[in-house]
Amino acid sequence: MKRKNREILTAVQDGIPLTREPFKIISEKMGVPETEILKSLNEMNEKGIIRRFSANINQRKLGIVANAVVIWNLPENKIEHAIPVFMSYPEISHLYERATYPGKWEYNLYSVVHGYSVESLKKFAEKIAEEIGVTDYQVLFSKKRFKGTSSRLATTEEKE
Amino acid sequence: MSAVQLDETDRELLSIIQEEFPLVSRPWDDLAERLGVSYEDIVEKAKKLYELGVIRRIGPVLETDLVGLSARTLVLMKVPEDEVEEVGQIVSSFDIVTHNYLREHEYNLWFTLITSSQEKLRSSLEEILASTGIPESDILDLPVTKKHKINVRYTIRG
Repeated sequence: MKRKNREILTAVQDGIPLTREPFKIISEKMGVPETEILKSLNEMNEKGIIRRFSANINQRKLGIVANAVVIWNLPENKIEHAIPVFMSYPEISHLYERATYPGKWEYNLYSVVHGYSVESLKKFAEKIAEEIGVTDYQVLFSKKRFKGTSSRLATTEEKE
Repeated sequence: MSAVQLDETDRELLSIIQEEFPLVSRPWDDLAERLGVSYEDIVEKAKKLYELGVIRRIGPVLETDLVGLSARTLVLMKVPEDEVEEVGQIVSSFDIVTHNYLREHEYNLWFTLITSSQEKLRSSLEEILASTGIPESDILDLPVTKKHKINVRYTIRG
């Protein structure tokens, strides 16, 4: 990534100020023209370096209080059929396959699910389990959030 | 926690900006026009949503693979009940750790690491183990083998 792009991303990654011309504030801080900052951000947005430029919302404040990781032991031959089922539900924000430890830890599919209640979320997982024909899964709510941040660029050193 | 009361414009505003915040000089004017309200109205709403903690931040969601953050994993750790608080905080203190949750499970601490190289990932994980005193046999290191979906958008209802 270009040095200038990296500097601009670093300047906005913790959030832009709530003001009429937020990018002007960034521009003054960086000593880079506002037009250049906007051009660079729009370019990175189009290229997909920025997945999206958007508001990070605390869903709990909107009543979406049940958030869980649901892990699935999905046999290889069921994956192809199961993935589209998972993809079709907006309640699922993340879906990954992960490494396993054969004989010790066989859960290979990880979904992050959001719901308005613990009960409705459990029912939702049950419904998916039936749909994909899997019985070995676990719904794991978080008891405590020690940390939750977006991926950040290192502000010092670590430059590629 | 009871849910924050939102009006129709709040919901529309949140639905738009969780997808895409306008990258223009005066973004709030742009949003106000789209929602058919004044700049003053929209900024007042935005201020309220920040104060209530509904909006955490407005900024870029990085495509980690494209910004040089391509090494990542999820670690599950077995932590004795009476050490959970301390170990949880030690783990969180590492910059490389982005998410860290306590869960009801034999492996009770779940955290994600993201950095620029496999070497850094390995050495950071070793450092974390050393500073928490948790043996390597009590963790599961679960890197992603396939990414299917990342789409954090909520259906905002009244």
